[in-house]
Amino acid sequence: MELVIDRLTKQFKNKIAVDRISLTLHEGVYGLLGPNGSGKTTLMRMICGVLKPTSGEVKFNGIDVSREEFRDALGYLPQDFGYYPEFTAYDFLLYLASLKGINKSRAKEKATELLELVSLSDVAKKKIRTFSGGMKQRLGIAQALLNNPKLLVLDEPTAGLDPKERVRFRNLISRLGKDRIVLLSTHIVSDVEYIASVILMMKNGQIIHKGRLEEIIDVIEGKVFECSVDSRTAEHLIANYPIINIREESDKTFLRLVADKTPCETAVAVPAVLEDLYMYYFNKEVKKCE
Amino acid sequence: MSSYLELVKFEYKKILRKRSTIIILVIGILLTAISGVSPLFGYYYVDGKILESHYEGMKKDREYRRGLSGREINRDLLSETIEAYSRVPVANGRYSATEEYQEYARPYSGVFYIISHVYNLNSNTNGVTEMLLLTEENLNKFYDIRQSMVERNIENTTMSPEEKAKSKELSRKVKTPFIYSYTGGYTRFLSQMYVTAILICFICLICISPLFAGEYTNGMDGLIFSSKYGKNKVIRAKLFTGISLTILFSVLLIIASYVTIMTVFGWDGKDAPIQLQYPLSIIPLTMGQVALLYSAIVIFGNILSSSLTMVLSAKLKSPYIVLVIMTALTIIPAFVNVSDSVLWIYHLSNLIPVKMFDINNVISIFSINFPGLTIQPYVLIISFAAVASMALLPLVYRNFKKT
Repeated sequence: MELVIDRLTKQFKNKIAVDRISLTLHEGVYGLLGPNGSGKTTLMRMICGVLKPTSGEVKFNGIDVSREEFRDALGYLPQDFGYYPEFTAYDFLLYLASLKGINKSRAKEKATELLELVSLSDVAKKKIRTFSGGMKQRLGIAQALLNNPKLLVLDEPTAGLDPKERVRFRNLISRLGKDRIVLLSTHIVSDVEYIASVILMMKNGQIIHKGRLEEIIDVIEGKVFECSVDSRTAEHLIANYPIINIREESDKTFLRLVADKTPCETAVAVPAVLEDLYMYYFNKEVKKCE
Repeated sequence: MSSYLELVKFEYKKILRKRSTIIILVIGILLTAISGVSPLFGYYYVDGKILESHYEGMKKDREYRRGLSGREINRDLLSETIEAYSRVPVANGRYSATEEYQEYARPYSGVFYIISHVYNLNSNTNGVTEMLLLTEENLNKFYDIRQSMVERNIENTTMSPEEKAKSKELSRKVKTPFIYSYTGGYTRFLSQMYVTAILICFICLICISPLFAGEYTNGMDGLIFSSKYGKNKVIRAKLFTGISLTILFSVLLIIASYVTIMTVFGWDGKDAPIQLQYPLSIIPLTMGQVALLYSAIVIFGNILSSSLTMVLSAKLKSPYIVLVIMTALTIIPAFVNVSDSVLWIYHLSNLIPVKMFDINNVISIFSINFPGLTIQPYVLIISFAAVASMALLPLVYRNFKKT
């Protein structure tokens, strides 16, 4: 099983949203991490054939993205997607099943099974307009799984879910990644940290890092420091280093920051986590802009 | 095939489950029914006093005309009509306000209507006076005079000689003598059809404009385009839904209009010649055939309008913009009067959906000449609507698929 993305580019007027991305993905969970506007959603929409690339191609097991066979193997949860408010959850899944070419009896079976999986069985016959944001998101996840896809693309799948549901879905996605390609994007760094076997960091339309968590973090290993300092030193550090965490204590300020060398006398090097790397890259970007 | 029908079923569900669709449809049917019988509301006044209600008047006229139904329009009937009208005193004001008119002439008012057209009289007091001057010879040559009047009208147009010849040839196929019949129901149905057609057009417009564009505003485009049938079968299902829904709504409203009007005005006159209502028409058809033909024109015109709506819906991604554009395209041409002095512009203007709905396209004296083929305007309209709709559908397909 192989998803090949070859020099994929999308240009909107003067802005290049996705810039010649080339990737090869195999079975496993891939976490796409990046700030707003980095091109994650554009990349995912092109992978799913929803958006036509300016150049480049996407192939799944040698099948081009424009082919029906490609879409037959695909499950997609868009970031912002709507529903037919007058449809019930059950009807909605049956409709999506018919769009995915699943026969009626199998569709009924699968819809019941997935509503159970996403804990919506008791509201299956209720109109979607009565659903909360979290319930709609769960229904969105259910529809993505209807055709038992070999390629699952999830754009912000845990947005709007409560912490308990988030954990449930993280586990579910982990299991799904065993025998298929799962590509998910999120702002929630911990989601990626827990479930992604490979992390893709995206910035300005390009993949700037790709690798396992340990490999990626290695870039800033030994560069993450914690310290408690007076307000004057704190101001100096905040102005000059990417800050990951600030906490006001009784007479001092606690800081967690990224620096190439010890930023102050009291600073202690600590093990890096993914969030440190995220803040390191994307805070730097913010500072440059400023 | 079953998955295709399943998709069609869901497209119907999307439209029919909207409360707005049901409300619009119910209002449409009610408006059609009410406007069909609206001429019966109110009263007929003479000198400020109520003579009768319009409903009573219709019933009285219906009885009078039924009394003459089955009679051949010939010298005898024409003489009887003249004799009846001769009893009406020539006075200032409306002759129909006189007691003599009500008692003697009114039963023959339907025949007088035909006489006034054939002999080119004005249907007022002067017309009556002129009618009284008609000679025996005039009455004996009723059908010859009618035919020469028809041919004169044809000659007075700017049609080519081939077209004129075709129109004359067609006019000679009109079966004579005419058998008089009460046709109040059909007459009302035909005059009501324009309003019904416009109503159908707007109902379809409102229901169909979100067919494609609504997927973008609903945020469903991503899910649809990434699904197996999202770029092929579902588009075909939507096209089928748009066209079939238009036919369904058209048939529904036409039937609502027909049943309401005929129930109130009377079902008689199906086999009567259209010339009883349009005495100088060249079309050799009966009232029932014209009603069917006119209904077909309305259905095809609305199919064309719906096809245009679908093209815009697939292209513009906003049902509201589609609605605004299509409303303008429907309303504006209705107020533009195109003269028949330059015939090709006139015929072309009649290919705009709202212009197709005019009864004159069915009863007109025009023929249209193409190399090797001369046809009537209604044939052109139906053929054009069918071909243009078919030609627009691939555009819808391409517009929606292009992401």
